[in-house]
Amino acid sequence: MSVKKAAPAWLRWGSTILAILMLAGMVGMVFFYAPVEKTMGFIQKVFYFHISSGWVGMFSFLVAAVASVLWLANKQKETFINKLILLDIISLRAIQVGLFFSLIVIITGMFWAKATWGVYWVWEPRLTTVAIMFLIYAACLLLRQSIEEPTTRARISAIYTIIGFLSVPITFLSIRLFPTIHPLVVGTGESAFNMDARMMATVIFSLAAFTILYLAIMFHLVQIPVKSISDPVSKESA
Amino acid sequence: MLTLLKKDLLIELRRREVLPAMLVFVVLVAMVFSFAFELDPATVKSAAGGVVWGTLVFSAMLGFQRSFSSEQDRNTLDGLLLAPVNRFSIFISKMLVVWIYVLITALVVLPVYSILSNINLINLKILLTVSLGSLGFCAAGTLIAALSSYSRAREVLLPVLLLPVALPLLMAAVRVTNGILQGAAFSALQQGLAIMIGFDIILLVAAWLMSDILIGE
Repeated sequence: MSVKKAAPAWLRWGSTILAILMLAGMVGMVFFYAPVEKTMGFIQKVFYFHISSGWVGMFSFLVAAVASVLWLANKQKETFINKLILLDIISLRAIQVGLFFSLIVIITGMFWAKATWGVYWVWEPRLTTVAIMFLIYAACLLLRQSIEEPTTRARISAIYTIIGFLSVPITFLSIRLFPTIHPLVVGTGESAFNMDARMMATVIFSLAAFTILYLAIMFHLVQIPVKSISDPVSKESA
Repeated sequence: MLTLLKKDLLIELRRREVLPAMLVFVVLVAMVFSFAFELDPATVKSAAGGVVWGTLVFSAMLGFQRSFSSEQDRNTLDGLLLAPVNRFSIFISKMLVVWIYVLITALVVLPVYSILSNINLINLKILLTVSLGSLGFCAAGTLIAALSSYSRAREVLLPVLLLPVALPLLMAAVRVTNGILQGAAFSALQQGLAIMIGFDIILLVAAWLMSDILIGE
C-alpha cells in the first residue's frame, strides 16, 4: 500500500518553515521580551507554552469532531468515497495530535502547579475535566484499533469522537463556570489574570505560533492511501 | 417500544442471565469496599456516596455488556431491524431494561450497605438521586455498548469507553448523595442536580440523533 500526502508540498514545507521561525520568535519573546512575573517568578514562563498547547489540543479535537460530522453527513454518497477516507484520516490524526498537545498541557501544568500551588495535582474542575478529555480521546484510539472493517471503524469512531467532543467545551468553560483556583487568562472574572501589555502580546504571538505549528504537523501527517489495482481496499489507513 | 421492553424482560425472566449475576455482584462489591476501606464510623458517612455509586456502576456494566452482545450472539438484531420499529425505540427499550435492573440492584444494595455500615441510606431523596443518576448512566452505557459491540474487544473496551464519558455524571451524583447524607440544604445540591439532569438530557438527545447511524447497517 503506497500512501500520498494529502497536502501539496509547498503547503507542507511552507507551513513548516513558518512554524519554525515563529517558534524561534516565540521563545525569544517569552524569555527576553515578556517581563518576569512578580509573585510566581521565572516558572511563570512555562505558561506561554501551557496555554498555547492547551488551545491547540482543544482546536485539534474540534477538527476531529468536524471531520467526523462531515463523514457521517456524507457517508451515503458513493462518489464521496475518497473524501470519506480523507475525513476519517483527518479525524484520526487530529485526535493523535490533540492528545500529544494535551499531554504537554498536563505536564507543563503539573510543573507550574508544583511551583505555585505546592502540589503537582489537585482535583479541581479544570484539571479534572482535562483528565477526562484526555482519557476519552485515548479510549477513542483504542476503539479504532479494535475494529477491522474500515467503514464500520470510521462510522463507530466518528460517533464516539462526536460524543467525546462534549468534554471539550466543558473543559474550556470549567474555569468560567465553577469555583476554581485555576487562573483565567482570556476574559474577566475574579480569578482573571492581570497581564501587562508585553505579556499579552507574547501570549497572542505564542497562540499564533502554535497554531501554525499545528497546521504544519497536520499537513505532514494526513496521508491518503493510493489505490492500486491489486489492492482495491484500503485496510491499512489507520 | 413496550413490546420490545417486554421481549427483553421476558428473555431475562426465562434465562436468568443478567439480573441474578448483578445482584450477587453488588453484594460482593459492597463487601469489597467495606474491607478495602476498613471504614470507621467517622469516615463511613463521607464515603457512603462513593461506595454506593461505585457499586452501582460496576453492576450496571454487567448489564450493558449483555444488552447488545446478546442480540449479536444469537443474530437476532437483524430480525429486530427488519421489524417496523424505529431504531431509537430499540435503544430506549435496551436502556430501560438496564435501568430497571440497576434500580432493582439499588433496592438491594442500599439496605445491604445500610446494615454493613450502620447508616440509613433508605430515604426518598437518595432513591430519587439514584434513579436520576442511573438513568443518565444507562443512557451513556447503552450508547457506548452499541458502539463497542462492533469491536473485537468489546468486553474490555466498554468500561474504558464508558467511564470517562460518564465521570462528570458520577461525580455530581456522588456529591449530591453525600450532601443528602450530611443533611445539606437543597440549594447546596442544586448544582449537582443540574449537572445530572443536563447530562441525562444531553445523552438522550445524542442517542436520539445518532440511533439511526448507530444501530445496525
